[in-house]
Amino acid sequence: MTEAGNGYAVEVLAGGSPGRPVPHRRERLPRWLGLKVDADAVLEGLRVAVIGNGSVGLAIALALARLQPGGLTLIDYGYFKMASLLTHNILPEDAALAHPKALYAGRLCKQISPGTDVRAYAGSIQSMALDALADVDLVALATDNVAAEVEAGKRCLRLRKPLIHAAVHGETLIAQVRFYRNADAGGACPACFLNRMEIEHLNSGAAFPCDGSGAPPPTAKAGVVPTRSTSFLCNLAADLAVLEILKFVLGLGPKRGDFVLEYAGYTNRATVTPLGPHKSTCLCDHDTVWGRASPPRPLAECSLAELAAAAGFNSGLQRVAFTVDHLTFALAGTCACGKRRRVERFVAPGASAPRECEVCRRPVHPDGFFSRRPVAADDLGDAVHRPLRELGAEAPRCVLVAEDERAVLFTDSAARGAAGQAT
Amino acid sequence: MTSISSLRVDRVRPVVPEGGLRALPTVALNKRNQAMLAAAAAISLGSPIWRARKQAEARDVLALSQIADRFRIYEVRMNTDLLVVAEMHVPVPCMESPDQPLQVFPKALLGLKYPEAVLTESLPGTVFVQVLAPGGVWHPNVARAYGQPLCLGPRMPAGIPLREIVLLTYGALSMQTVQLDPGDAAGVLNVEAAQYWQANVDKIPLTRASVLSAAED
Repeated sequence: MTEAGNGYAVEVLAGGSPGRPVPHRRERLPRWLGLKVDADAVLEGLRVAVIGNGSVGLAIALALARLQPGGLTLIDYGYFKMASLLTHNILPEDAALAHPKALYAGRLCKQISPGTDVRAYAGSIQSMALDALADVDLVALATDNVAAEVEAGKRCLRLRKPLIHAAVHGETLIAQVRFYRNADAGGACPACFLNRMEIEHLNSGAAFPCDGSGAPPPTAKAGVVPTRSTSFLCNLAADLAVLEILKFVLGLGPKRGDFVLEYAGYTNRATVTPLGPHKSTCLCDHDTVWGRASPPRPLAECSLAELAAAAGFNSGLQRVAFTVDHLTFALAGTCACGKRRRVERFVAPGASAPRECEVCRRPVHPDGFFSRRPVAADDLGDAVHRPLRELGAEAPRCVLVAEDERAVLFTDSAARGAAGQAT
Repeated sequence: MTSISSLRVDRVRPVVPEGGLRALPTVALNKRNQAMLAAAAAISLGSPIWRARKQAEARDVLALSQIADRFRIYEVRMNTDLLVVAEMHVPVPCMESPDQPLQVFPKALLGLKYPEAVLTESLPGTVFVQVLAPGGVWHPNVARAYGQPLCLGPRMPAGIPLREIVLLTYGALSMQTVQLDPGDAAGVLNVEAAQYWQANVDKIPLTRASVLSAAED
């Protein structure tokens, strides 16, 4: 099973027929015109995340799997429904069984390419760990809701990961791919181009499933807006996206900045338009870059002051803030008797603090107003010099240390390796 | 750093500018509020866009506190989230336990939280406001536990200004706007209080006074 709760994709294990001969990509890779790199070696090391594994995203994932890349991370909070059969590359029994899309895509990809490190996350990109995309080379985005697009854009900007956004407009037979290189702060992000209607959809949490299903399941988020498209248009957008990914990683064709590639079905015309610089009105932080570093010791043994020093923030801690994995620093909380108590511990979302009230002996629940994520060194007081383990962070997998526009992401590979597996 | 307490002035009834809330951007901050804003901004952390937004939002609510007799700000912090501790003169229904009589307190001490995520995300309506005092609030949209968060609705629009959170809070606490249906999860955090107020709808709203009207002494 996948576990969306821990914020990391889980490894998809090989199923099907072990021992079955697997063809190697070399048997079919053409000798591309103008190729100057070892395509086989590049693809061997290539790691791609695909956000949204529906009509377009599943097709992207499958096309990538046939290139046998080094790693594929598949992210989708959705489940198949019968209408998915109309636009997704699935069989009727898969639609009927309401599989989680990410896990299903992961299993298919693993069967196609057993040598690829396939990981699946059956949750939203917003709920993933800070460093969930840190190890991928680029991100393909084919989601059905605006909030996920904005979040993916923000994450790729911070980590300076190229983002390829594939989409369709069914009514006009348009397949579109936007390429955000994210090489520097000057480029645009998906949020730069949101129009008024899309911002309204962002506010209402609207989703746009391509299969046209308008009735959300009882547990789904509000605001599912039916859109209409066809499987061939979705596959076309996916194929264009994978084509651009391949050209980018192998250095094929002329070098381009950010651009939008649009294929108009009515005119049979493809248009490439440069994407302008980022909009000054964009609400995303285009300036802050997250560097990466390894902690001097296991993260749980480190103090936050020690990590700030390791990050090179040596001019004092006054302007430094810390984000520890998915945890919140609770300064105070209340118990059943209504008394407010000091907590001063890192706690998981929704969990009670690791202490009980002296009066009513019931657990103390962190108060929202007195909880911090990120937490400033100023709020931590002397706790900034204590090991994270003593502050309730038993096995943090990542810590972000930020000072104004500069930030360093520490990842604990040993702690991250404890993530689960999916069969 | 200037001491805020040394700048505290005697309470003066504010003058509501012509144009009311629309005139908020033209309200010049008084010395106390200028000092409070400068002190908070000096240790404001985050990206330039977030720091600028925090400063603008804090300025707005400080200006609001100058024209709204019912709203006073005691503390502003900006080091990570924008945090405001404020007093609101609004009737607050309280009940120690369901078998006790209802008490209505004349004011509430509020903790307002404005996290960075609000810039790009539609956040749940429970994120922004906590009733720090009085305790035992008996209101359908205020939880009894977890430090008494106030629910302003299932989701708030991305980028909602903090001043609007303040205005929504006044409407909610005074029960001028209230969600009473325990069968509708949107907003109800205290089912017993919702049932109580459904049986006592003649008592609501607790005041019809607007947020800009003079507070009772």
